Amino acid sequence: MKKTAGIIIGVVAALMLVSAAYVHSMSKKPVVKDTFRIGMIAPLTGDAGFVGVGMKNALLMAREQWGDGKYNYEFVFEDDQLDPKLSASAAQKLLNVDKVDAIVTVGHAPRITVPLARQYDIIHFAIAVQKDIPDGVNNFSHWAPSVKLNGLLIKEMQKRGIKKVGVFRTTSLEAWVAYYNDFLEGIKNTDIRVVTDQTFKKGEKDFRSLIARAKPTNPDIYLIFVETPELEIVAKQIREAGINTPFTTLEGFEVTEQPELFEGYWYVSPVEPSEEFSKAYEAKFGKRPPVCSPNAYDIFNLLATAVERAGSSPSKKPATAQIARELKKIKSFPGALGDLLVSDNGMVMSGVQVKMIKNGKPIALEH
Amino acid sequence: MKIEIRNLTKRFDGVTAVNNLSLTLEGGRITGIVGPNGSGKTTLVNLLSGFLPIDGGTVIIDDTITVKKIQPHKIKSYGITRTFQDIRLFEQMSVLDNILVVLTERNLWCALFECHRPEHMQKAEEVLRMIDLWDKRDEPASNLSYGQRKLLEIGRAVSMEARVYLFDEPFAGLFPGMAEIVESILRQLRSQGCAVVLIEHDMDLIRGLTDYVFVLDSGVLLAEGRPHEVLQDRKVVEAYIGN
Amino acid sequence: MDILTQLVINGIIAGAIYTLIALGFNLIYGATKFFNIAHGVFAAIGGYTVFFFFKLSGVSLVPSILAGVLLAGIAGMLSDRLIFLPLRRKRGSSVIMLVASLGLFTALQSVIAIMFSNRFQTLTDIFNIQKTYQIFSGVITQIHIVIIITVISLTIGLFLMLNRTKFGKAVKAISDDEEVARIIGIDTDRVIGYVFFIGSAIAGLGGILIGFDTGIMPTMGMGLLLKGVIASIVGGVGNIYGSVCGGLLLGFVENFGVWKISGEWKDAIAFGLLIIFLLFRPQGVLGK
Repeated sequence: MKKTAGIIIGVVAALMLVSAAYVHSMSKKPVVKDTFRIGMIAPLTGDAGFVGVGMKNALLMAREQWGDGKYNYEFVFEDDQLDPKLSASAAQKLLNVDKVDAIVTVGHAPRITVPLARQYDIIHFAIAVQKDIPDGVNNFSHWAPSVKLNGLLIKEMQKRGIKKVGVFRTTSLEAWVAYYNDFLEGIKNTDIRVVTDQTFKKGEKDFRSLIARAKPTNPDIYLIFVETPELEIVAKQIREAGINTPFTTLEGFEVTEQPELFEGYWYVSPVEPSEEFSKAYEAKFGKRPPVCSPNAYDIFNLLATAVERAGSSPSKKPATAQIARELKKIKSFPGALGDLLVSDNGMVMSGVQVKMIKNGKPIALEH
Repeated sequence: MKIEIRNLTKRFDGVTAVNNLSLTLEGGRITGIVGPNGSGKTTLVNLLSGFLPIDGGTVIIDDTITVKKIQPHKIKSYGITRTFQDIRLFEQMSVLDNILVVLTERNLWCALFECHRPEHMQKAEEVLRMIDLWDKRDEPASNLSYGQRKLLEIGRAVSMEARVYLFDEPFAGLFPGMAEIVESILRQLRSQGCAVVLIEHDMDLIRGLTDYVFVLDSGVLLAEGRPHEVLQDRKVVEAYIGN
Repeated sequence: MDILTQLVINGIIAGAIYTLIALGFNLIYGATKFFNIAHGVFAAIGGYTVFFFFKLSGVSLVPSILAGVLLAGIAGMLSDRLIFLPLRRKRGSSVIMLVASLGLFTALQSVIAIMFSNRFQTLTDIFNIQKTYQIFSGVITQIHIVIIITVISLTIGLFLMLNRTKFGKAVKAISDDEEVARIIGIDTDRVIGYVFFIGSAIAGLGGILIGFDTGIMPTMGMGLLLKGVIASIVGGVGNIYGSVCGGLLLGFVENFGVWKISGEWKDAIAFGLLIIFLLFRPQGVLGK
C-alpha cells in the first residue's frame, strides 16, 4: 500500500516536472510582438456619425486583411461629434492616457492634432483638404487635394460654357473656406466669374433673404459649399424662390440623404473607391462604404506598410522619423482610392472625377 | 361669525413677531387692532390670510373649523378677506374688471366664456357706486388716484361677500370725503353681522368707530376692552410714548 | 422679383416664426415671472411627435399634428407640476427657476436625441419643394402662408382668451399679483398649470410648422428660444402683443440687415438689436 502511494507520488511529481519544463520552453519560443497603437478621432454619433463609423469599420477591415504582421495593431476610437472641444480632449486622451503611436483624424480634429503630433512626435494622418496640414514629418493627409478638385471643377465649367457662378457657402468650416480660396485662385485666368457670394454660419436655416440678394445676378450655376443639412435647405429654398438654376459642389451631393434634390446635376469629387474595396466593405457591413472610409482603409495600409518596413525587430516598433521616411518613399501603392503616391510634404495624392446624380445615385461621368 | 385665535406664534430669524397670542374676533362688531410700529399687527393679518405660514397655535373659525395652516386660496372658503397697507390692485384690468374678477362662477363653462350673470353686473354696479367709481369703470386701475385706488381695493374686498374683513390701515392718506365712504362701508358690514378688523394708528378713528380694541406690543397682547377704557390704560400709553 | 418686396415677405415669415415662440413664452412669463428656458424644448417635442406618428408610424397628418400639440402641452403642464410648482411653493427665486428650466431643457433635449438621434430630420418624405405663390413681385410658400395664418389666429385667439374669458381674467390677475389673486379665491396653481399647457402647446405647434418648413433637430429648441426671447424683450416681456411686435421687428431687422452685409452677421444683428433695447428701452416697444 505504502509502495503504491510512493509510486503514484513519484509519477505525478515527474509529470509535473516535465509539463513545467514544456510550458516553459513553449512560452519562450515566440518572440513577444510589440504593439503599434492607432487612435482615431472622428464623429461616431450625431449628424456626421456615419462618417466616423465608416472609418472605424474600414480600419478594422484593413487590419483583419493585413493578418499576422510583424507587429500587433491596436485601435482606440474616440467620438468627437464634429465638435472641436471634444476633438481636443480626445487628442489629449489618446496621447496621454492611451499613448498611441499614430492618430487618424477628420473634421476639426486635424487642425487640433497637427501641433500635438509634433509635440509628442507621433504620426498623424488627417483626412483633410487643407494644404498646410501635412508636413511630411509628423503630419500626413489623405484626401484628394483641393487644387486638383477645383481644377477639374473649373475645367468642367469651361467645358459646359458656364461663365457666371453664384456661390452659397459656409464660413464656419475651414475645409469649405480652403476649397473656396482655391476655387477663386483657379478661375483667375479664366472667363468664369463669381457673380454673387453669399456666406452664412453653420446652423443657419433661413436663407431666403440671401437668395433674394443672389437672384438678380442670374448665375449660370449655383456652387454650394456646405454639407448636410444646410446643403439641402439652401437648395430647397432656392427652388422655392422660383429659381431653376442647376447646382454643383465639391463632394457634397453623394453624402446627401436627399439625392432627389440634385437629380441630374454634376459635381466633382474624389475617385470612387475600388470595386474590390467596396465589395469587401459591403459584404462585411451590409452597406456601401460611406465617405472617408476608403481613405481610412488606405491610411491603415500605408501606415502598416511603412511601420513594418521601418521596423528592424518585431519586439521593438520603429521610431516616428523612420516611419515618416518610409511613408514618403511610397510612390506607387495600390489603394482603395486608386494608385497612391505619398508626396514629400506628406500628402497622399489620389484621383478626382466628375460625377452626376442619376436616379438618386452618384455615377462617374466618362471623359 | 367668530374667529378664535389660540397661542398663535410667528418667528422671523429669531425675532418673535407674534408671540403666543390668543384673541377672539366677534361678528357684528368692528374690532380695532392698535400698537406701535413692529408690534405685529400686519403680521397677524398676514397669518390670518395665509400670506405667512403659521409657526404655532391654532385658528378656530365659527367654533367648527380648526386650522393650523392657512393657505391663501382657502381663505375665501373660510369667508375671510383682506386689504393691504400698500394697495394691491390688478393694474392691467379696468376698474370694473377688478370687481368682476371676484364675482365669478368658477366652473369650466364659465371659464371658457365670459358669462357674467346680470346679478354680477348689478352687484358690481352697486359696489362701484358706493365707492363713487362707477363713472370710471372702464378706465384701467393704474389710472386712478391714490385715494381711488384705496377705495377700489376696499370695494373689491366688499364684493367678496366675506364674513371676516381684515382692513390694514384703510384710512391712511384719504381725504375726508373718501374717509367718510370707508367709514360707512365699515359700519354697513358691521350691521350685516360681519367681523370687521381694523388696523389703525389714528386713535380718534379707533374711539369713534370701533366696538372693541386689542393692543399689541412686540407680538404680545398688552390690553383689550372697550376703546375708551383701553386707550386710557397706563400700559398702553407707555407702550406708545415710552419708546 | 423685386428684392425689397421679397425682403418684406421674408421679414414677415421670420417674424411670424419668432412670434410663434414668443407668444407662449410671454404668456408663461406673464403668469410666473421667470424666463422659462425649457420653453424651447417643447417646440422640439411637438416636432418629434409629428415625426414619430406621421413619418415613422404612418398616422395621417391631422391626428399627428394634434398629438404633437397635445403632447407638447402636456409636457409643459407636467414640467410645471413636477418642477416649477414645487419651486414656487418653496418661494424659489426667479433665478432658481431659470436654472431649473435650463436643466429641464438639457435633460429633455438629451432624451429626444437618445430616442431619435442627433440628426437633422424632415417631417415630409423628402425635401419636397413647397408649392409657392406670387405676392406682388415676391414669392411665398404654402407652409409660410400656413405659419402666418396660424400666428394671426393664435394672436387673436389669445387676445380673446385674455380679454373675453374668466380664465383670461384669472391669468391677468395672477400676472398682476399672484398673492392677491389667491386671496380672492383664484386657484392660481391650477390656472398656471393651464397657462403652461397653452403656452407649451403653442410652442409645440411652432416646432411642427418649423419642422414642415425646414426640418427638426433635438437641438432646435435653443436657437428658437433665443430668437423668441429676443422678440419678447424687444416687444415687451410678458406682453402678448409685444410678442408680435418684437417678432416682426426682429424678422425685419435680420432680413433687411443681411441685404447689405453678409449672412454670417444674422445672429449678431439679432443680438445687437437686443442689446440696443436693453440699453435704451428695456421695457420693449409696447412695455408691460
